[in-house]
Amino acid sequence: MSNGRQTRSSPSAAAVGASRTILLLVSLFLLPGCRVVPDATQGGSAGVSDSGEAGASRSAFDAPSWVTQVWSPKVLPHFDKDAVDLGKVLDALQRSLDEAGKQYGRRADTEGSPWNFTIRGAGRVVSVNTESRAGTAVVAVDTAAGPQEVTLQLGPVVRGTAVRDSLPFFSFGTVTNQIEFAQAARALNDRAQVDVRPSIPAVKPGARVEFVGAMNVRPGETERLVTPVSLKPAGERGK
Amino acid sequence: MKPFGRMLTVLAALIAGVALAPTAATAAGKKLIVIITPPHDNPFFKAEAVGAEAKAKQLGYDTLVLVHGDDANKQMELFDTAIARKAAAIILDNAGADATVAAVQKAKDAGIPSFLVDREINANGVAVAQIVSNNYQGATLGAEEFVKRMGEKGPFAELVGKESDTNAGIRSKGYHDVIDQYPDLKMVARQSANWSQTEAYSKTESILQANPEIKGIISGNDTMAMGAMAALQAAGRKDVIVVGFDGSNDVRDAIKAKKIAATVLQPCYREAQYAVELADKYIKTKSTGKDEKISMDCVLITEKNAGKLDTFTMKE
Repeated sequence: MSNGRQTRSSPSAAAVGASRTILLLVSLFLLPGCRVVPDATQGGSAGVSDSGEAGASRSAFDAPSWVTQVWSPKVLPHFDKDAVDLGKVLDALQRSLDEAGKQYGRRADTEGSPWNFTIRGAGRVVSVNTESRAGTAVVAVDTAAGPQEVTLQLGPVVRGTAVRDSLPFFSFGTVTNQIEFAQAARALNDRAQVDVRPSIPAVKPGARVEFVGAMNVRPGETERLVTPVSLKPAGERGK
Repeated sequence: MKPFGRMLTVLAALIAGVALAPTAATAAGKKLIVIITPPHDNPFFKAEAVGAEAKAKQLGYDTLVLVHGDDANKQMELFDTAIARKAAAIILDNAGADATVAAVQKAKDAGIPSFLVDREINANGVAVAQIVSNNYQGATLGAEEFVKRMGEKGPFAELVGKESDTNAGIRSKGYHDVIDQYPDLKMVARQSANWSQTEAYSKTESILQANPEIKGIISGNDTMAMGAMAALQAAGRKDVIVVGFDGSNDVRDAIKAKKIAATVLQPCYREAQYAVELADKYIKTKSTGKDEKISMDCVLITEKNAGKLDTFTMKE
């Protein structure tokens, strides 16, 4: 099958280049091992077991280990380098999703896929809901056209696949099946939580926060749901 | 005498061959697309076949629509038919992730490309395209809505699909990936109802007797959700949250009537059309320009957008 990556041209520092080479070598070694596919004829035992594990649980792809390998050498540099100003994205989204997507986003080469935006933003916390385990904060983000509200995921339950979908080096074609694809998203969300959680007590109504993260937007959606990979209290707006 | 007889036989064979060849390519010289799915008594598969056929006709192909009855041997016979008819392409919702590989390979060896929808096969590089709904992503959408409607707590039951179908396991795993993050949600019963409405009815009846405290039922597909809904109604239980999967018109109507909370639409009509578009492109250019494996996202259907759903398609 063909290579499913969508790469952006990325002049990278020598160190990043070197770690990428190592990663590539590791990937080359690991990926053929991923092609272990569930045996559907044994679906009775493998498809649905009491633990709720589905067929691909025997697969060689271990999402948490994969995330451990790629988080520092690839994921964080991607957010550092590719994040665009959320204010600009929100303003563009007011005009047209497709235009905003073409200018600032990326999208899997498949119909029905959401536009994904890798963003950095800052704003004032309007409200916080940590009663739900899928905790969120509404943040009024600074944009040229005035503040606009987004919903920032605080966890511990994090919904969606925005972090995964933002990665230019990872796509459905990279893994064997949809379960591995989903496990990758979940493991990335869990890893992001490790970095985000210490700042959550500071997320209070009226406080200013700044964050880097990812956001998926589908046609017709009005809620702007941001999954942060970094979050911290911010000083007053000074720039 | 003998040589003459042999010559006659050869001549007869030649004539037969010449006579047969045009029928293989169909009278009007149109190319043929063969569409093979599970039986159409499930509206989901019917929508696939109808979608593929409409698109193929629109693009100027002849079509042959066949059903395999989830029987891999029957499916192989249908592939033989497609090969004998010199099909230009096969559109397939297959009868088994492993058993289907040989059939698709046989067609490939005969120079006929296959374009799969709905279900994956356990091989890459045999089919030209595999377009599947992202069942896992869809299941997490359904589960998130279920959790929300349950208020993140309470006892619930799960109805699982046919265990030999990988999608049953995939959806269940997607459900649990979300639900299990909420410790106050307790699963008190989990049973397979084999995608069947009648089985779901009787399973739900017995679950209600053993666990009258349940507040929700999450179901692996819409037909089972309909069965659960009927059993709940018969028991006078209007308080139980039901979530399905597929996006059928039956469940859409139940959502509008507030009898079912939500379902997840698999865009199967569009997937089938997309498969034909890729087939057309491949026939003309020898490439689809796309990855073999294509995952299409599912859409959550609730009261808010149920009005836009019709025959597995969202109207704009």
